[in-house]
Amino acid sequence: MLKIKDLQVSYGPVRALHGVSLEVPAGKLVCVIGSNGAGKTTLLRTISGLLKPTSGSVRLGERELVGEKPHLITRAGVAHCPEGRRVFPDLSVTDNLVLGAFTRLKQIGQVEMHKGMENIFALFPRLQERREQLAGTLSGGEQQMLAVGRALMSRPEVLLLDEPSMGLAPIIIDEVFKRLAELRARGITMLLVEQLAFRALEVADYGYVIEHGKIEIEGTAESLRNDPRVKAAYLGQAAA
Amino acid sequence: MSAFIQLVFSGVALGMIYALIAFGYNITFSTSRTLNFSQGDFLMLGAFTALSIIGSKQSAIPIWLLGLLAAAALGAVLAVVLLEVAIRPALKTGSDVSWILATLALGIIAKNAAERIWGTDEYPMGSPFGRGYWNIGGVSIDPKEVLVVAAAAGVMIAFEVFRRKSLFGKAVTAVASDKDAASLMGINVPVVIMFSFIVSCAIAAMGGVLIGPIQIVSSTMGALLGTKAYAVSVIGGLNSGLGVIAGGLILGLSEQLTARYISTGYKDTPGFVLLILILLFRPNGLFGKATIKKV
Amino acid sequence: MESVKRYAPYLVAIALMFIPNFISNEYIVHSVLCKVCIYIIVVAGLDLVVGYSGDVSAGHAGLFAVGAYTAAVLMWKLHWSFPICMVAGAALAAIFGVILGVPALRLRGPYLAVATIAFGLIIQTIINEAVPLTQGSSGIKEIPRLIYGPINFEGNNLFYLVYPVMVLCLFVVNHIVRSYWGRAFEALKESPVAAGCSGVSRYRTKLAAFILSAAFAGLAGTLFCHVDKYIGPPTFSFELSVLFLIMLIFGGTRSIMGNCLGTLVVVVLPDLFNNLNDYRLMIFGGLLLFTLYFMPGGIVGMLRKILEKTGLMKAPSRLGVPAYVVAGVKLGEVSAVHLRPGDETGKGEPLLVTKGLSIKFGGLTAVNGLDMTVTRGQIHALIGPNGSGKSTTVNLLSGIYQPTSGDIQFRGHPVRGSADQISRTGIARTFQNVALFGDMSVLDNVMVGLHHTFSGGLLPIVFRTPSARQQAAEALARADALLDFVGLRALATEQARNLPYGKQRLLEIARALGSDPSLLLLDEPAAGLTAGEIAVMDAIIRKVRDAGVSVLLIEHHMSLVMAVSDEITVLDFGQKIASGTPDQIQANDRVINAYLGTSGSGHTLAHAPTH
Repeated sequence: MLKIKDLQVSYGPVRALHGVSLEVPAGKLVCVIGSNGAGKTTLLRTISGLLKPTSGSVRLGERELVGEKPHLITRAGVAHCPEGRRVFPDLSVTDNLVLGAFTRLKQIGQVEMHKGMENIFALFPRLQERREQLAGTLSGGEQQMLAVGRALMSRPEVLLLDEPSMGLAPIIIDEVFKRLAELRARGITMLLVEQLAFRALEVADYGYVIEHGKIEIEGTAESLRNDPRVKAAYLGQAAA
Repeated sequence: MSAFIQLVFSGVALGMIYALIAFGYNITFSTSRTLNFSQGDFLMLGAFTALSIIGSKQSAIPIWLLGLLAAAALGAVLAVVLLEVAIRPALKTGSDVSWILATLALGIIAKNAAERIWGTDEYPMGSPFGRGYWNIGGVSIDPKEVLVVAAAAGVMIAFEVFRRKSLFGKAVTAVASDKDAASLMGINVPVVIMFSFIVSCAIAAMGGVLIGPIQIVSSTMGALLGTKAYAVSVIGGLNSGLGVIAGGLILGLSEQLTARYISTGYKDTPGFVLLILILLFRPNGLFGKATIKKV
Repeated sequence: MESVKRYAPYLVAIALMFIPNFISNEYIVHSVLCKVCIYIIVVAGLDLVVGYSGDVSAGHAGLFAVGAYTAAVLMWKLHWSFPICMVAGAALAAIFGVILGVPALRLRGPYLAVATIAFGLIIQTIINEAVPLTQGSSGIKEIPRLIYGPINFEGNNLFYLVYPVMVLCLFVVNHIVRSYWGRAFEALKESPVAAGCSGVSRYRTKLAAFILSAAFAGLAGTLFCHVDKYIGPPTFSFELSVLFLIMLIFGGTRSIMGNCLGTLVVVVLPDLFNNLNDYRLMIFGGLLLFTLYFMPGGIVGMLRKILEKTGLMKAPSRLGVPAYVVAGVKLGEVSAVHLRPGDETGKGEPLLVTKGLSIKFGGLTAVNGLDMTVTRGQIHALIGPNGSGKSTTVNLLSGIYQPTSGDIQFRGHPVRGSADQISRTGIARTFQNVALFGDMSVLDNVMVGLHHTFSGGLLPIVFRTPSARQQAAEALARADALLDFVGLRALATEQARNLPYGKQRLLEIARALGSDPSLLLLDEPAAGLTAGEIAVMDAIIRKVRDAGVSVLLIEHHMSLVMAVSDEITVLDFGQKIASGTPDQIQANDRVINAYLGTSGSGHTLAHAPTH
């Protein structure tokens, strides 16, 4: 579904990604794990067009995404649930979800859109309780669920998730990952970028470990779970 | 007493014009973090354009509406010029100095152009109402002022309804609060920003058509109106939405009271004084939100 | 050769004094050149605000009017002598500078432009209305002649008055911009946050620039009323304010030569193309837009580029330090930097203690009840997963954010305040995204860090008193030693933005050390560095500690953290979850969970559902 080849990205003089290649097959949940600063967010921002790579390609099916504007990439079927949630604080929960369906609303109409919204509410009942509340007043966990729900509203072909655990308490992280497992069971194609390696590997089919802008290890989620090198990638060699 | 009510009503009418222009500033400030320092001159160009259609006498309503529409259309064109010539290239340089200077430059160009086309004379401007006053319970009210209040309130309320209820309006709010996140929704951010400028400048140009019949149309009319509207924006709060209405009314009334009880000559001073006081004591405006900027 | 270069500007300045002896045309000398000189004073002053500190005043015509009317009224009504009127005009304009600057410069944003535009219009209103003083719209025609016995400043002789005053003003401006004030103005323009953390108070410094600028405009105004012996309100219009800006931008900011050329061209141009006079403002507006986008350095910038290209001039090494200071110091003499001699005594004792430190943004608690102790003489690392609150903690400790609750004890005293105040108590920092003053030289960057070593107001700077020279010389020696400390001495005259990225990180450390800190906060110093550069960073961090400065290191690069740290504190969702030595941390289950997420849900790896 999503194929990334030899992606290189720089911020001015600083190289952030040194030739990253990976693949997300349809219906699978693939995760990219690694410590902060490894280049995970840069990878997702490049896929969705917020950053321009210096070289490499990103293909969604047959379509090349590199060079496209971000809003067109979204329309092509890539939904990006960004790092730090980035919900629209001055809009209500409902309005945030409506904007999630921005690209489709004209085709599907209000009725269909509301059906979609009900689906999201079924997945995240907490959002339904707070549907009229301004997103800025939600707790961190609720904002995360809203951000995921908002991204799903566009019925994407691929959902990019950037560290849904960031800044959340463990019990909330449980909740978030439970939902991701449900989404996976529904057959939604996802690329999950996450620092919490073992959490991600619990729900993923396949994983990549990124370190200093390079994919260092890859394998099935199961094989990575038992790979001592994963731990070493985070806390230094001694931890292995 | 009736003279006082008349005075208050004139203040309200004036205040609504200021609020209307300031409302336009707030729209573009929210989406682009810039202020158009040539907005007053756009207002003046709008007034002149409408004047050449409406003329200086009482006009039929369709003609007047045509004038209003022409002014709005001109405002839209000016918005595109403003954005492409002064704002977008300046924002690329990354410093506030560039866009401030660029919009100032557009302002003097616009004013000079108006002088070349319409000269430096002052013109009266027609409206659907003649010279007559309405007598309401012993108070004479200028129907032109009623028109100003109704039209200004109508435009502002219409835009607020649009912003809150329509999909595109919500997209404007989304762009104002987070451009990257908005583009991830599939929103074409540059188009939304362009739209906000078009609305803002069209509002200013229509403001010229509303104020023209009450004051006078001349190439210098924009400077004071535009500047007072900055003051109103700051008084209400640059991110306050309808706070500008309160800001406008406060300024409009204080100007009328100054003119009545201190001196007509000094009626332009309250704007400056209020601006300084608000910046000193309530820097985010009466209705603005304090924001902590993440570094 | 060097001395020719050094004295040439003075010789040219003296030579130009005799223009009226060669040109007797009253229009050229009296009406044009005198006006040019007066406007140059305004423009050079405006440069302090626009070019150096990066704000826009669109009301300088108003300040100019204040000066002109003050002088005219005082001379005409009270028969004050002109020199006193000059002082009065400048002082009153400066007072208006305070009235405008105090409210408008407190906030970031276009507020100064808004306030000054409004001020310019209000001054016109006041002139029109205060008839007893200003004669309203008919203007003042009764300005006394400047005749003192045999000395007569009328007609072309006015040049002998305005020209020396202009030279004097340029001299003063030049001394200011080349002093620590000038560096502070520029630093604020390039990175207000970094300047603040180097001990420069944003508000006070910007205010100083604006007040000075207002005083120059007022002073110029006092001279202006003698050009036509008439002043009236239309002269001091908004257009004049914009014209001042055009003169400045078109000539080229931050250059006295630019100020002079820009003013000359904008004043003379309309005379050359008389038939285009009706389109004057359109042409000038177009000129301003053109300059902004296609000639950002103005005429001077363009000339410089041409001269560099043709090889007639070397690329400027903007040392920013006057030659006289360099001459007094033997660079390279002080190489062993002992950073904080007094601090070694307290080794092993707590240096920084936070208790219950918390901050909320809206509904989110970014840092939640943090208790942390940094011991003197140690490298203390603060680590944690993304979003755990590390950067927020650094921003709290450096005064960029104010805590919602809790307190910070530093060297036994509570600390609280803005970034520049914190910097002066001995906490310095670097930035995650390098925040150097890119346009300034490497040496000047460190000199900004040494801002706190300068004292004394405007006068010592203007007169370059022995004590001011001494301060500058000492700071220069210190900056040189600090550059040596991080290994950048050879690059002292480079522009900071031209340094390779790894060296920019080192320069930030040198600048931070300039404030003589007891504690250095390093915010991800290894981000984006190559392996070789990280090795250098490792060595420098240890060197800093060994020189007596304690270090709080925020870093993702775990091999660096584990190698250099004496102690590590781990944050997760805003709270401390562990602290200890690197070995302890690497073996700590909570830490491993926080980073890798093995538990919390109850299931461990062994139970992880397999799909």
